[in-house]
Amino acid sequence: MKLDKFTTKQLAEIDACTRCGNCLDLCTAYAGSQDVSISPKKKMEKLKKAVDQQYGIFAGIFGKKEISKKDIEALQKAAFECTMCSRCEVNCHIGIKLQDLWLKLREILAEDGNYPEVLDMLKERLSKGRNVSFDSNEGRASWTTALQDIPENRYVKQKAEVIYFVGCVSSFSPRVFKIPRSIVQIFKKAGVDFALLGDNEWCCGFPLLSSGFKKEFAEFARHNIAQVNSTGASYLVTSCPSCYHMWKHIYKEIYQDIKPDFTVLHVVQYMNQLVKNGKLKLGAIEETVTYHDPCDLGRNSGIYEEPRELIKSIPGIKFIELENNRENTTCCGGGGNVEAVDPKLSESIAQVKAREIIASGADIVTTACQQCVRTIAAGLKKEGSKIRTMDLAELIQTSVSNYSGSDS
Amino acid sequence: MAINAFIIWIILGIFVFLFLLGFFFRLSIWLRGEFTAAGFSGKPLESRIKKLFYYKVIFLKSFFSKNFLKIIAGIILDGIIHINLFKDSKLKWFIHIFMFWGFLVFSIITILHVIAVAIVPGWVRDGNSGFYVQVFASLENKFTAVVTDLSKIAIFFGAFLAVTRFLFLKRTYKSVEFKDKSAGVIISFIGVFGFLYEAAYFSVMNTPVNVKAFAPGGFILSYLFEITRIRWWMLANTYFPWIIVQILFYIYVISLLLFIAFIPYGKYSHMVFGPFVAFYNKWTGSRKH
Repeated sequence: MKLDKFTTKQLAEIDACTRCGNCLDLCTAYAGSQDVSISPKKKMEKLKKAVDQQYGIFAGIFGKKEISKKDIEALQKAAFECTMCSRCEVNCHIGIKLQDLWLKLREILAEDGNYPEVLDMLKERLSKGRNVSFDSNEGRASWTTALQDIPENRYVKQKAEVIYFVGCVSSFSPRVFKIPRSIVQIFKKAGVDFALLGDNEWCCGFPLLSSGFKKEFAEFARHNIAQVNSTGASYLVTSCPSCYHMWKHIYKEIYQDIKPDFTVLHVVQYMNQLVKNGKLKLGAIEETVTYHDPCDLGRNSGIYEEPRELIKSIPGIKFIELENNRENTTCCGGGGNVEAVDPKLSESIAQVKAREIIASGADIVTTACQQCVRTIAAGLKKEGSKIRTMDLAELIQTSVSNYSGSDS
Repeated sequence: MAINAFIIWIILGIFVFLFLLGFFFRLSIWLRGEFTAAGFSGKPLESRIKKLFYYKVIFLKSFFSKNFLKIIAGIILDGIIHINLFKDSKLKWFIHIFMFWGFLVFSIITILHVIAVAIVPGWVRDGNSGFYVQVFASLENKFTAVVTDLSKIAIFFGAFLAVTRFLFLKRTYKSVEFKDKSAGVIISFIGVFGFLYEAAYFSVMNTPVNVKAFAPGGFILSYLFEITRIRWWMLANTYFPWIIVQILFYIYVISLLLFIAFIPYGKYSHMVFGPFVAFYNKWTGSRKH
């Protein structure tokens, strides 16, 4: 293991960890599995031990001690059974950027081939198809076929004010086609000049980056930025929080030489602007609604208020918070490729989330992420709950279609 | 009766050398890592010295910036009062504050005492020495006695609370926390020898009750020495009692200094480096969204 691939700051953070255990209480993977060995605290202990074996005082005197296969396997398990939700960071007294550390750990492990085999399949699908599904990328805009009254080009065009970056899951998973379809209808209703990239849209690269394949990630980032730059768009709008996080923060951080010529917004922010500007009129929905903060939109991007403002702007809605909300929100279990690596763990995390939602007493749980919609809906079904799971775009579209002209 | 000043200076020298070596050794491990810095454009730095210099400049620039007062407030709140821990759990805060402050004060006062004893190796009480020696060289100085004892009592109280809390923890948490209790055990061991040293000192010096009452731990133990006839046994020979005081002094001092010197090398390194990293993460423009 090449531990010197960690940054100086990260090596210092490994030493500075007090092992107080606050992260253990917050770890959603631990909550779902009750397996301490995959908790952040244990990961830190293992890393500290590995660093000391490689560079510690005894290594300096008696020579480096190779990290045992057993220890590497334990680290690999802990690293890849993490949802990357970054909840472990919330109460760290040292302020350790744990998510960055876990990402780097995956990168270091992957470089030596220490990663779950299933990720090879993901890598292959992405390098061949440019998306995470088994489908060809030419079918990127197939979800539009069910839409009525749309132009022949299906909104795939060269120039537009807004580019809607749909993301792989919304483009290829029929269970969540409602999300992009709702967004298109909302944009149409508000008179937004928008375009889709069609098969020129490639995966944002997040699945590669979060699997530790940083080298392969580069091609995707560069391609996507070049494509959007060529449209002359002023805004790039995404409905996937992970795509948003990539566009808004990671692309810029990693590739300082590429300058995006547009503003990146999550669709929740954009819809909120449309409502505030009076371009979208909302009709009543008489339901009790709660909101789940997607990790990449909330904790990792700091967007907490816009979705709440948007929900509260719908007439008739009674909004209630989940017990764990905003930066304390628990993960739905769909992040960090855990669904591919350990589907059972992902399911049990989703069930923990589902129980929290059931306890809230809401009729509808809304969120702003297609992956959260999938996992929460499955978790609620498994718990035998009839609570409906909706993306915020669907909720807004329902409200827009309920508008009769007299709602306030 | 006099302690060997030369030996104490050698012990102190070795302690300072080992501590600094450990400190810089640990820094050199960090500097093996990849160089990244917000806003740095250019070829990433390779040399560890250059990296050290670069990070040092960032650190100092951040410290002496327009945020200086906020940083000082942050140091007081985070580093001294441990406000985050207080917000998180009152019980954990009590445990931590007793052990952290107890150990810090105990270490400082002990080092000051050791230096004073090295300056005047006879545990002076004649009043002809300088102020520093008058205060720190003798355990019969009321200030030194009170501070030394209170700090040790704080450590033991913190340890007691930690053990009590541990007994009521869930099983999974117990397995996680158990391994991290070694520091508490070592510090408590050092504290016990500190008390024994005090008690032996009071017994041998025949310290009046109104003086030794300022060091309640040592006082109670010295009283126990009297009723169990240990004191009589200690005083049976002219030189023997001072040998016992010296042995206890060396065990107490060497174990404490060794423990502190070991901190940068191993699993307790967070005690030294935690505050620096917390400061760096908070004030030097780490990624925030």
